[in-house]
Amino acid sequence: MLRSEKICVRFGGLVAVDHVSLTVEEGTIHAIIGPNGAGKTTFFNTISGAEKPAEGKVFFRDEDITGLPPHRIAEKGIGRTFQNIKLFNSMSVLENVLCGMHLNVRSNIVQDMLGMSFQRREERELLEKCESLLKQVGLYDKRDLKANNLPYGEQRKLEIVRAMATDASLLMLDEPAAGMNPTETRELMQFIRKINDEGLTILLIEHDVRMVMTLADKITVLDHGIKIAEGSAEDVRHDANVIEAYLGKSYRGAVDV
Amino acid sequence: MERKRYSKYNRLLVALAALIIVLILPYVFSGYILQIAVYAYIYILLASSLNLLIGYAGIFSMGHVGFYCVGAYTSALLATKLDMPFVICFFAAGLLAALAGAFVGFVALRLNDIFFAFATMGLSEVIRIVIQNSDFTNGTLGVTGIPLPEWFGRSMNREEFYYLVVVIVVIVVVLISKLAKSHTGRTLAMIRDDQNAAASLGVNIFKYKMMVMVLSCFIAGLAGSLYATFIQYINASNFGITVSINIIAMVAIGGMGTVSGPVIGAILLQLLPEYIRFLSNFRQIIYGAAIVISIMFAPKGLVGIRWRRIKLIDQLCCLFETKLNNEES
Repeated sequence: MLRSEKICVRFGGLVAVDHVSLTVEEGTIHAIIGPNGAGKTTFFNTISGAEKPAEGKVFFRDEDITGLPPHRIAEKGIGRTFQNIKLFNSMSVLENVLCGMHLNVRSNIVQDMLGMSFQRREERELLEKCESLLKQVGLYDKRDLKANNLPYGEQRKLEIVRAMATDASLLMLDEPAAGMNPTETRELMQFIRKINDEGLTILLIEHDVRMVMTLADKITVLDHGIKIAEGSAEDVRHDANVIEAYLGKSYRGAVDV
Repeated sequence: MERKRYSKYNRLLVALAALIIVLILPYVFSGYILQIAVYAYIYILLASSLNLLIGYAGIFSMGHVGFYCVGAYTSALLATKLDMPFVICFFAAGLLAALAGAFVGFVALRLNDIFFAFATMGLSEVIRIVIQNSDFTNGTLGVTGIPLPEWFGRSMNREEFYYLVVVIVVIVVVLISKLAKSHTGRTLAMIRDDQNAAASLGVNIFKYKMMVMVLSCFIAGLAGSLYATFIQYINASNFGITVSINIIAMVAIGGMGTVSGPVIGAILLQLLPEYIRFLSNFRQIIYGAAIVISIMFAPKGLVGIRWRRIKLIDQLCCLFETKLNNEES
């Protein structure tokens, strides 16, 4: 579904992502892990259009999307969340989801100003869609709260729901469990599993190893911008390079994580 | 007793009272007061249009006066040199200002925050200086003898023009309020809150910024046309940077990102100086201080203050409400 070919991103002399190729299969949960500064988020940003690669290509459904601006990438059907939650804090929970519907809105600025019946009907339809989406994920009761008044875990969830509202077929989650307590993490895992079962392909960056090991169908390990391992949770767990990257050379082959 | 925020009933009452005052004003006062009122209405247009940029989209423009100036000159020159009817002058003013806005936006909207503010400030000064030094626009002499619009085969008098301005202002403010509540308004708020998040949801940020810039400048141009036609004489020196700052003050003090804020701000800041004439030398200082105070103590402007939190006002309101309830029952 998503394929990157030898992506390279450089910041001055620093090579943040070094010839990384990976393929995300449709319907799977694909995780990218790696120590701090391994280039995971940079890789994400390259796919979502925030960063332009110096070399390499990105294909989505066999279409070249390399270097497109972020809003064009979103149009193609790739939604994303951010490492530090980026909700629209001046708006309510419901409005945040409405924002996610942006790509489905047909009315233009003139119709909006005149408040024509077409525009009012569309607005009503959007509202219904968003409310049913919020009911599905259990945030309906909190729809009128300001987004930043939600508990942390639910802010993360709302950000995911907002990205889902774009009708994305691939969802990229940047450390969704960061800063969460174990209960929240468990709930989030169930949630991610659920939306994956409903047909969304998921690409996630995560530090919570237990979460990744149980959730991911396939794991790619980055270190210093280089892909050092790829495979199922079991493969990666026993990979000598991964153990070295995480624990150091002396543990090579000695530890069963 | 139950404490609701402004009920719909209260709002309607306020709106009705305001409308009556606005409508009977020309019968009670004439001349100077009428002029002040028309200025206030023109500033409502300017503040509301700037609010689209600053309040809704988070684009801090300091060059709004430039587009106002373009509108005023377009209208004045068309009316005096080509004897165009007012309708054409009026819309041409809006269109040309919008065109100028599109150009400035195309160049400057790539800049962020404070850099955009400086760029627009500079460009608005460029517009003023070019107009002031060009023969086509009568240079420093300005344009004189701008006619009032004609209707029914005669020229409008100032009272009639007053009503025309009122109608235009009401239409524009209503349209802006509809826009603010619509999806476009929400999209602008997205851009204001977080551009990266907005882009990740498929918002073409540059396109929306351009649209709101063009719309805002269009309204500023209309305001310019009304000003030129009402005052019948314009001079580029009236379109200096202080006008931009006054408009910003109106938006900031009234309440950014609200429909009523700029309206209240514009009326207040236009009327206030009339009552403190003796301080006129300190006008800019007072405006500056007012901006600082409002940002420190009422960042959401006058509209955003929760008046009920102030004890005395709350007690007065309660008294008033009980009285109303008693009368109803």
